[in-house]
Amino acid sequence: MEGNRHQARGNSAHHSHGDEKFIWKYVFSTDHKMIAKQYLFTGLFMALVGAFTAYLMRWQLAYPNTAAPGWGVVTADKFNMLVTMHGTIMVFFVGMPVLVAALSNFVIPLQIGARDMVFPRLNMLSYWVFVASVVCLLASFFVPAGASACGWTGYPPLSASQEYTGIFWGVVLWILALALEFASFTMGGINYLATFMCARAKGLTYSRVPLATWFLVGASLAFFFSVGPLIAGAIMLLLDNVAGTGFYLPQKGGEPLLWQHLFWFFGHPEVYVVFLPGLAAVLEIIPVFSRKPIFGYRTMVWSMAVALALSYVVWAHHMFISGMDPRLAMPFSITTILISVPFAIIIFCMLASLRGGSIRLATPMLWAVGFLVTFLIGGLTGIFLGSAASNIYFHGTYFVVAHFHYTFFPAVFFGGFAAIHFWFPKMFGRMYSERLGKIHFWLTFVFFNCTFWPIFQIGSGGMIRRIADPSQYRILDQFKTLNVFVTISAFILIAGQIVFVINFFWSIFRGPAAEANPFRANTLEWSAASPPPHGNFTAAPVVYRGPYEYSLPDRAEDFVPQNEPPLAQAEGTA
Amino acid sequence: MIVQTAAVENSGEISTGKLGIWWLIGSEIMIFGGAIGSFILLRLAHPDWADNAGHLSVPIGSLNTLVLLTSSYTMVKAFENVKKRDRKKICRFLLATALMGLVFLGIKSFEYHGKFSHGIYPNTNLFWAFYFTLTGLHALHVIAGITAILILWTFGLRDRLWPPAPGTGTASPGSPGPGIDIIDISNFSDPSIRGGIIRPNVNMSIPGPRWSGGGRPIADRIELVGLYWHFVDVVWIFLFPLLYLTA
Ligand code: HEM
Ligand SMILES: [Cu+2]
Repeated sequence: MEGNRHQARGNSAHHSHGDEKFIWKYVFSTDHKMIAKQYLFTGLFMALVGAFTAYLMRWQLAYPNTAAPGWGVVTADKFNMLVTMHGTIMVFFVGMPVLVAALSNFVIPLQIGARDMVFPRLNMLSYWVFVASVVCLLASFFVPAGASACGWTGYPPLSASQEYTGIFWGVVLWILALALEFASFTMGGINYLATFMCARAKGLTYSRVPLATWFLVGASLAFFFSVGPLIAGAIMLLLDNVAGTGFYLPQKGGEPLLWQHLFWFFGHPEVYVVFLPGLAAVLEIIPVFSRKPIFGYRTMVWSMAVALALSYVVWAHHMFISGMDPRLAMPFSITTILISVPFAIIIFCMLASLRGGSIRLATPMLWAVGFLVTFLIGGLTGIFLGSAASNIYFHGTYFVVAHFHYTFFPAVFFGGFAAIHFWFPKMFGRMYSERLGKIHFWLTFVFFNCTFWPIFQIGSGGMIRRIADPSQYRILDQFKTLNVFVTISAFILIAGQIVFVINFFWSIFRGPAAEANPFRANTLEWSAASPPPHGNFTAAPVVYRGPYEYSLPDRAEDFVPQNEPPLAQAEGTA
Repeated sequence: MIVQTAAVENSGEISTGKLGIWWLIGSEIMIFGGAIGSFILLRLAHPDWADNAGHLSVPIGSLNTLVLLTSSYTMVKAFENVKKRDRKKICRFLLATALMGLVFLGIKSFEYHGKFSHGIYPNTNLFWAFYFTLTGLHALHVIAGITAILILWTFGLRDRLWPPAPGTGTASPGSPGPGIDIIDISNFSDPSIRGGIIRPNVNMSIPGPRWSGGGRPIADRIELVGLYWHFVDVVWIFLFPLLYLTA
C-alpha cells in the first residue's frame, strides 16, 4: 500500500509532472520550493490575524471603551489577550515562517545549486508540524476563558498558574503551540544546515557562497543553539500548569526569574533569527540593483559570526530591572554595546556597497533601502535601552514598544517584502507590477513611520506598555491626539497592505511571464528556469567565481553569473 | 556537460545522515543543558535539598547506570559487526541493547513506584519536580532510542540491512531485476531518494523492498542510532551524580 503510493510518486516525479496528484504536489509536497510557498502563505495568513489584533489594540488606545467595528469593546482582559497573541503571532507565526522557513527553503537550495533539501521528507514533516502549531494557537482563541494573556514573553508567575489570569487552556495551548513550532524549526534547521554543508554545487566554496545563504544559515544557527534551554523551560512551565509543580512559583519555592533567563537566552538570538534573513535578502538585492560588487564580503560574514557569538551573552539586558543580581547589569551592558559593533560594520559595508553604484530603485531595492533606514532608527534607539542607566527609565514604556517595532517591522516586513518581490519571478515565474509595488512601498514606509515614530515620544512621556485604557491616567491626557494620530496611521498602514495583496495575487495568475534572470543577477538561482522545475537544474551547476562580480571592466555584460566558466576556457584560447 | 556529484555529498567525508544526527544531538544537548543548568543553579542555592536527595537509592541508581553503560557497549558491538557484515550478530546485539534499555526503564519505574507509594510526587517540592522532570525527559529519550533500535532489529531479521547481492535478489515482483542500475546516487539523481533521518527511508523511485535509504544501506543507520544511544547514555551519566550523589 505505502510502497505503491511512493512508487506512484516516484514514477511521476521521474517521468512527467503533469500527472502528479494534486495532494502530492500541493499538500504533502517534498519539493523545497512548494514547502517554501506553503510557509509563505501560512505566514501571510497569520499576518492578517496579527494585523487584526493590532487594529483592535490601536482602536482601544485611541478611542477607549468604544466598540471597535467588527469586534466590540476591547475590555481590559481582552486587551491583555490581544497583546499576547499579537506579539506571539507576529514574531513566531509571521516572522519565523516567512523569513526563516520560506526564505531558507526557497533560497538556500537554489543558491547553492542543489536539487532539493538533503532531507526532503523531514522538510515536509517540519511544515506539517508547524501547521499543527498554528492550529493550536488559533484554537486557543476559542477555548473557555480565551487565549493566553501573559504577554508574548509568557512571564511567570502569571503564566505558571491559573489563579492569576483565570486562563488554563489558553496558556496550555500557547505553550504547546510554541513547543510544536520549536520542533518544526529544529527539523527545518537540521535540514538547512545539513543541506548547506553537504549539497553545495561543485566549485561553490565557502568563500563563494552568496551572502543571502550565509545569513540564512546564520539565522538557523542562532535559532538552533538558543532554543534548547527554552524548550526545557517550556516543559517546566507546562508542568507548572498541568502537574502542579512549582518551578516558577515562589510560594512553592520556585524561581520566576529562571524563566526570564531561559526565555531571553533564546529571545535575544531570536531577534537575530528574524533579523538575519531580512538582512540576507537586502544584502542580495543591493549589489544587483547597484551593479556593484558587494563591499566587504568576508568582513560581513565574520561580523555576522561575531554577532551570533555575542548574541548568546546579552540576554540579561532584558532584565535590568527584573530584580536579578544588579552586579550583572554592568557586564550585560557592555556585551550589549559590543554587539552593536558587528552590526554597525555590516551597515557600513552595505552603505559602501551602495556608494557610487548605478542604483536602480525598483521595488525590491526600495524595500532594501527602506529596511536600512528604518532599521537604523531601531538600532540607534536600542542604545538607550542597552545601557542599564537609561533602561531603568525607559523600561516597560512605549519607548520600548517603538524600539522593537522599529527593529521587528523592518526585519519582517521590509526585509520580507524585499525578498518576496526580488524572488517573486523565480518563485512564480511571473513579474509583479512595478507600479503597485512602488505604491505599496511608499504607503507602508510613510505610515509605518507615522505609526511608530510618535510612540517614542509617547513612551518617553511616560506611557507604559500593555495598558488597556490610557484614559485612566491623567498624565497620558496630553497624548490623546497623538494616540489618535498613531491609530489612524496604523489603520492606513494596515489598509495599505491591500495593494500588496492585489499585486501579489494578480501577478501570480496574470503577471507577465518572467525570464530566467530578469534582474541580471549572478547567483545560481537565476540560472534555473523561472519557476524552477522539480529538481531545479537541468544539469548540475558548476561554480567558477564569487557571487558579486558586477561591472567588471573586461566584460561586455555588467554581470558574470557564478556558473559562467572563465573567459579563457569559454573561448577556448590560451 | 559535466553531470556529476553536485547535488549532495560534495563535501565528502561525512554522510548527510550522520550530519543530521549530529545536529539533532546538538539541539538535544541544548535542551538538556538548559534543564540541567537550571537544576544546578537552583540546587546550589538550596543546600537543604540534600535531604530529599537522600531518599534516592544509590545502589539502584548505580545498577541502572551499569545497565545503560553495558547497553552502550552492546550497541558498539552491533556496529562493529556491521563492518563484518555479520547479520546474526548484529541482530543479537541490537536486541540485547534494546532489552537493556527496557530493563533500565523497568528499574526506573520501580523507583518511581517507590516514590509514589511514599507519597512523593512531582509537585511535592522543587527537588522532586526536577527529579521527575529530568529523569522523565531522559526516559522519553530512552524510549525513542529503543524504538529506533527495534526498528533496525526488524530490518535485520528480514535481511534488509544491505541490498541483495546480484543474482540472489529477494526483491519483490515488479522490481527491476539484478543488473539494472537501480539508483545511481553518484548521479544528479532524484532528490526524493535522499535519506530521511526520522523514519526508515523508502526508496521512492523504484518499487520493491526497502533496502536503501539515501542511497546507503540501512545498515549504515546502526551507526547513527548508536550515536544517539550513546548520547542518551551520556545524559544519564550527568543526571545520576547530580541527582543521586548530592545527598
Ligand atoms: C501593523 C503594524 C503593527 C501595529 C499597529 C502594532 C501595534 C502594536 C501594539 C499596539 C502593541 C501593544 C503595545 C502595548 O500595549 O504594550 C504591540 C505589541 C507588540 N508588537 Fe506590534 N504592531 C505591529 C506590527 C508588529 C510586528 C510586525 C511585530 C513583530 C514581528 C510586532 C511585535 C510586537 C510585539 C512582540 C509586541 C509586544 C507584545 C507584548 O507586550 O507581549 N508588531 N504592537
Ligand atoms: Cu535582547
